Amino acid sequence: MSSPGGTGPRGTRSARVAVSALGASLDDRVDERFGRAAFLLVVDPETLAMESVDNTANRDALQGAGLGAAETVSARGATAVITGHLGPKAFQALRVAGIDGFDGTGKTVRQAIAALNDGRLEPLAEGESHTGLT
Amino acid sequence: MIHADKAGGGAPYVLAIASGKGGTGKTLVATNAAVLAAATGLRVVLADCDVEAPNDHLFLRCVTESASPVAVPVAEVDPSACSACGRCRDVCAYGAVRILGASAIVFDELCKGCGLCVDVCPEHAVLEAPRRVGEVVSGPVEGRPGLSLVTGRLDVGQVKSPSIIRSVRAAAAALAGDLVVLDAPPGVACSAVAAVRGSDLLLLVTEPTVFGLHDLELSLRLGRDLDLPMAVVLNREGTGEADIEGLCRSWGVPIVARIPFDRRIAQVYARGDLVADELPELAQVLPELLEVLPGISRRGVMSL
Repeated sequence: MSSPGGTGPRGTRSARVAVSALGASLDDRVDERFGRAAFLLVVDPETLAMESVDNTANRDALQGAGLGAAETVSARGATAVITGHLGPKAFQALRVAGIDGFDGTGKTVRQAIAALNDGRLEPLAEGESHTGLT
Repeated sequence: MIHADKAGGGAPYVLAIASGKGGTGKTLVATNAAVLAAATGLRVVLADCDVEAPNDHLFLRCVTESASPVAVPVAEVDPSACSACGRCRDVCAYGAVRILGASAIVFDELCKGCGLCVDVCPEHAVLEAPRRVGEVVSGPVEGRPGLSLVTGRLDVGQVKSPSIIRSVRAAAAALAGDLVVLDAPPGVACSAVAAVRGSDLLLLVTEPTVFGLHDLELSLRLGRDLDLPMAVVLNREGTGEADIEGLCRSWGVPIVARIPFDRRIAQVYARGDLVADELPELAQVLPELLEVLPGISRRGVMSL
């Protein structure tokens, strides 16, 4: 795995923020969906170095999309997630991985990262299931 | 279709009552057919397989003789032994296992208990533990000699109804009656499949509405895929225009009973009473229905 924002071995690298996004660039908007987001951008909030992950595989999953996205961002060392909504399973998975969720609804990825750096993003609570049925 | 062995006193005849559409009258037909069959001297087990919303017990007072929890195996990871290699995640067809942080973690509601992750773990860090999903309650029905009721009940928040349905059917078979009447859940999804698979006759209850027609065809396709002999009960005859008869003719499936659209039936049902007791003239269609079950009718004659 390439790690553009990484600075060292596991445990010493800098914080990374995963953002669900409608496109692959910092100026695309935050995708309010986490598991079924178009892209997951893993960003170094200091340098804005970024890895974009195409989330097609999770998006098209019959179920467990949020779990797959949580695994994707956990494997890339994210310590925070910016999205619009976290379902119960994604919320639980991120909690297990020690990743906090923040609400970036309505912002671009760049704006959301800046707001997080300034402590201006609200933490996300566990939301309703999108599917209703499993 | 070979029914000869069924008449010989071996395994009970299994009559599955199902419908693609909900609310067409499965419970009406199942409860009344079971009561009428028991009244002829047959030993009958009514098995309520609609485990998300069982309701046969509202019409028949069951003396609970046994209540057994139903548990399914669910994988569990010992994080201290897990090396996060990801093999369990890679083999899981349901996406139930994820690597988060330094360990695999299993998400219960997605796990189907297949055990593949247990087998592939090089660290022996994955085990299976039973997890309760519901219960099966059974016993004789008060005031109805020869009739027993088995009810499956899925716990609130659980989704694995097929495991409970299989337990209901096993409990019903163990009661060793002449006839098992299965009241299936609506639809054609996995729970309906679990309820009707391997039955001797799939009796599809429908109504002459557009929804009834559409969902009857789904049920006919399910029965064909499961290779089951089929027959249809047309309920609420006169309430709609849909061409149930044409569909049945094109499928070569007989309509073996017709229940009129009659306010008195709704009233009796809403009180929790049985048409067989309150409106015997209307319930006559059901003994005729039982005639289509070769093993049953023969054995019924024998026992009279």
